[in-house]
Amino acid sequence: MSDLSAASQAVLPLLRANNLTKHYPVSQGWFRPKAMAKALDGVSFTLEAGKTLAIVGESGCGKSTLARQITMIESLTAGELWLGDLNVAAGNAATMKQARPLVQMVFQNPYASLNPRKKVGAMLEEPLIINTALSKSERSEKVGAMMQQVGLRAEFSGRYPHMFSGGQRQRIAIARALMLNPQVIVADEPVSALDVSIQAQVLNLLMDIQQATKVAYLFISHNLSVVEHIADQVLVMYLGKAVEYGDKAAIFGQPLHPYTRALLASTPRIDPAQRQAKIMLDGELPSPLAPPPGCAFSNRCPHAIERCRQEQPLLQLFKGSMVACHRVNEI
Amino acid sequence: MALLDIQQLRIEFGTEAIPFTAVDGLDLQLEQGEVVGIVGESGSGKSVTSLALMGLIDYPGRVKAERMEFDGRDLLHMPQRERRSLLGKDIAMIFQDPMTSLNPSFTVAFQLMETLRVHQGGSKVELRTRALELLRQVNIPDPERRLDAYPHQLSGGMSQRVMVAIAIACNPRLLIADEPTTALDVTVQAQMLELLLQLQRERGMALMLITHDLSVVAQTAQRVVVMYAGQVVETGTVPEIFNAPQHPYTQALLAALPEHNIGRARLQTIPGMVPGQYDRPTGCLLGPRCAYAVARCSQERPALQGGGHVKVRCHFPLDRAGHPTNSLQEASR
Repeated sequence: MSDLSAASQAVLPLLRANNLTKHYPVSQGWFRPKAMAKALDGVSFTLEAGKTLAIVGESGCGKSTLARQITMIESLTAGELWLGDLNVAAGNAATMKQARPLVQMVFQNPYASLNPRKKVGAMLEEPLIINTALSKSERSEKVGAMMQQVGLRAEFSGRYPHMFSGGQRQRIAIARALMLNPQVIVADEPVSALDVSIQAQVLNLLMDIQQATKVAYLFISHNLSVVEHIADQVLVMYLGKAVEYGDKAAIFGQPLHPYTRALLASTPRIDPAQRQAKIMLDGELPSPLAPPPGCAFSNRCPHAIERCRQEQPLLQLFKGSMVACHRVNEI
Repeated sequence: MALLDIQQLRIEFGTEAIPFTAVDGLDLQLEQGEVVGIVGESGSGKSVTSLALMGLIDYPGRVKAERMEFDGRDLLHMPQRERRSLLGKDIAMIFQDPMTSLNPSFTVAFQLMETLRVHQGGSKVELRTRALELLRQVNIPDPERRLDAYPHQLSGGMSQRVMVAIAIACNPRLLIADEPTTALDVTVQAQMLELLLQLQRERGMALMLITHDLSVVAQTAQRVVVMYAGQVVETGTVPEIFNAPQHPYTQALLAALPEHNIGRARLQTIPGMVPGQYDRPTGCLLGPRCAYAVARCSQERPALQGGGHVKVRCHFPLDRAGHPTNSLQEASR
């Protein structure tokens, strides 16, 4: 991974994640030793200002664990995380205080992520009260300006969340994330709870904001057609590991890993010409407590051979993307 | 004769004096062995329609219809007892969220055998054998072990397979699937749709697929009904509707998909939102959001019209090239 980023530019990217690892101890019973669920197992990537990296994968693949590490809600088991010149993973309290406002999050379900007892204005004001020394009038001015920026009328600041529709609520959640001028926004499935017509409005808003503020997005989604529209780079995850990482055009134009291919083939399409021959995957994600000894995908992969079941493939450069597959040359 | 024949279905909530109409004058015919998709945004009335069919709308909700017949039998006026014997047997339903629609306190076997016992009866051993057979049919790996599992021990995809097994237990002639894949991952979604279609073909069931996902309908259904704010705005065969939509809403909905905006910086959107209970316009319900609306659209509510396969609720349906047929009126406005 590091050679990819070194080659692509001399200036260090905004967010650099190296070998991110998060293991959770899981109780197996009273007297049995704790098992380790490897939710995130050595994932590396870089993210530049003003760009969007999409994290793609099925539920249980570690997408949300990754989000929790980047937003510093949890501390890493191992690995390095750099935000600009701040070493977040090994940082002391002062570093964290500096770093935390720079990374903000937008959650999946706007019906659950807004406090129903707080007025919108109060919700947007809260980060400013905690993190800045602005006066009351300056704060309310900022709140009004932010609401305008996300396409809500400033008068709405006295309303409660239940008075808004789903799309408007997601706009409020985006406004809340933007209040402290973050450098990175982690968006965990931000449009999957919204209707198609509203989804398009919110995606447009996210792209407008990126153009205006050069914020970087870590966009977590399982909807590949949304990812194809918004992402610059794509990281495909499977059972806590990155299986393919590269530019959007490469991933969608010429997917290399069998899992990426299966994901693309499973995505329903309107246009019959775009539908690919179905690559039906049997079964589901294996348990992270007992992953297969070799390639994590080997028990569902149509191309798996004996070597795949025994030896874990490493992420390596192939045709411009990073891919973790033993048979990438042949298939 | 159609298997399911609904005419002028009307579902109201609230008081008689100020009713809120969730579904307004829905017509739907379903033939044996047909797959029909019902699409719409949230609040369009698609789920309420399926609940009404299953008799799951309680007071103060009111279901009215000129005709609501299943296989020639009047569903609305038959005695409760008779209707209950039909539901779960000839008409079965799969709900959206498999995690919440199975009872967490009972095993898979109990919940499967319950349906069989109520409608068909038999000894415990017989019922268990049939339950096992059903789990095999929905391709659950290791079915013997799964029989005695509780729902929390199953993954989402597996739970949904159990739901399908319960639904097909008594060989229904009509299967209603309300957002059957929304809570699932894409690879599991593909498996699930394939399973539903395979069961539909094998058994010659009619399948009513309710979803907000246009691409799922495009890929599975033969006919599609597009709903907006409680009304059917367009209905026809899948190729006709998806290739040349005649209603501006269908056209805008298709245009808003990222799939149709490849290479474009911005997605096309429909401005505004679905009208709620108190702000339904007097004219065409889409009027305030429609790109082609003229004065007549805000005064007069259009009726569902058109002969043949495609019916559309618009004063000025779009032509095959996707342009409005009201350019003359627009010029004189």
